[in-house]
Amino acid sequence: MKKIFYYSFSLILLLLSSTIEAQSYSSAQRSRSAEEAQQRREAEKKAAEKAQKKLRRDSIPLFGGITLGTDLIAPGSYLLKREKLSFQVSAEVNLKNRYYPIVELGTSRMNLTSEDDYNFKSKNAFYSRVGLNYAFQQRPDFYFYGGIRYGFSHVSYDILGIPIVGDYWGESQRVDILDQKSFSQWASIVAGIKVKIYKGFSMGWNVRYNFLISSTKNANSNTWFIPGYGMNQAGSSSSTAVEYNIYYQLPFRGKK
Amino acid sequence: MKPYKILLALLSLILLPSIVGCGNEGCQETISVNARCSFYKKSNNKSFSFDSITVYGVGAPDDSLLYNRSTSQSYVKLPLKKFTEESSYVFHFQGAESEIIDKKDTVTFYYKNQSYFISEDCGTVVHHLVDSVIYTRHYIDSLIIAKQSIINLDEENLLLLF
Repeated sequence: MKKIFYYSFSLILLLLSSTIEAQSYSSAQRSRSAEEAQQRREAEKKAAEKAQKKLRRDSIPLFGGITLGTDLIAPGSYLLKREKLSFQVSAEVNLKNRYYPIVELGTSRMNLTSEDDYNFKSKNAFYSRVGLNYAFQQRPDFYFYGGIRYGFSHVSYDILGIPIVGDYWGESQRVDILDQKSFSQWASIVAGIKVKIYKGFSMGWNVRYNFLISSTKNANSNTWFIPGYGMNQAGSSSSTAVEYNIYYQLPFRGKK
Repeated sequence: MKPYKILLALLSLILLPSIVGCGNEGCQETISVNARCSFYKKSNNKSFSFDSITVYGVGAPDDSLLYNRSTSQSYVKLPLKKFTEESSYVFHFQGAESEIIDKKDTVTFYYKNQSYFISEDCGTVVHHLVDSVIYTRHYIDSLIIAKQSIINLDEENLLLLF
């Protein structure tokens, strides 16, 4: 009788434990399948978002229009300090709201008086820059961009009334260095922002860091000023510049 | 126009002066132009130093000396006139290789001048192109023009042989 009781009790225990195991197994399975379902849903959501993005990208036309621009800083600074008179226009093409190939053409002349009271006078010189901007946001009404440029210019200049002193021999005279010419080329990296302000008009500013690639030296001088690049300091082959542009988008665009 | 656009426009105008102000790094080049004359022994073509030497330019204001009984001098640097094409210097040799000597020679450079504008910070230097050099031979044996162009680099221009 005692044995029968033991056997029955063991059997009940066994059955009970297997039921509990089965219950815990089924709850783990349930949570796993819920997790999998969640993951599936997320993957589907991501895929849908990706597809939507792709659709949006595909719906952006390759040709998004042409924008003309002009820099306001150079003419503005001439009003404050009558040294450098520059005028620049640019034309850029919008490709997919992402890539903006750009051409910048300008003219510049300098009449600078140094601290030692001599003059650097350059004749009106043209400069050109070509390059590409990359928009970090694919929306044409407001975006930050980075870009690269290659620029070149040719300048003719005179330096008048340079004081030369010879301390040991007690000499002092002023000399002129005339008819100097120099061809220069440089590369730039650009960072900027562009914001649409009204209808086809936008504005934006950019900073640029220019690296001088080469500048022909004359028998009598280094050029002090390189149109489109800036001041040419001895011992330095770089310059910085800032532009503040107003743009107008020509009223034709590519079709979707 | 949205507020952030106005903010960006204002920020850009504030940032401008600070960015435009960068870039003046001062003069980083040598701007002195001197004829460097080195002393050599003719017997072995080796450089040597004078124990005592005095050098001055002929006609310099107040007879100012370039070197006054300078010791251990294996070369001298001579500033040429910038607006005439002839400069003379007197070398007074007073001691060499522990011997007392007292001999004078005059060296005259004939040359062309050429102004060279380096930059606003460095200013303008005058380079010289030597045509010829004449000299007396009281103590100097001979001389060699090593480099005709005298520019703002520390180069050996003239070798004086003794």
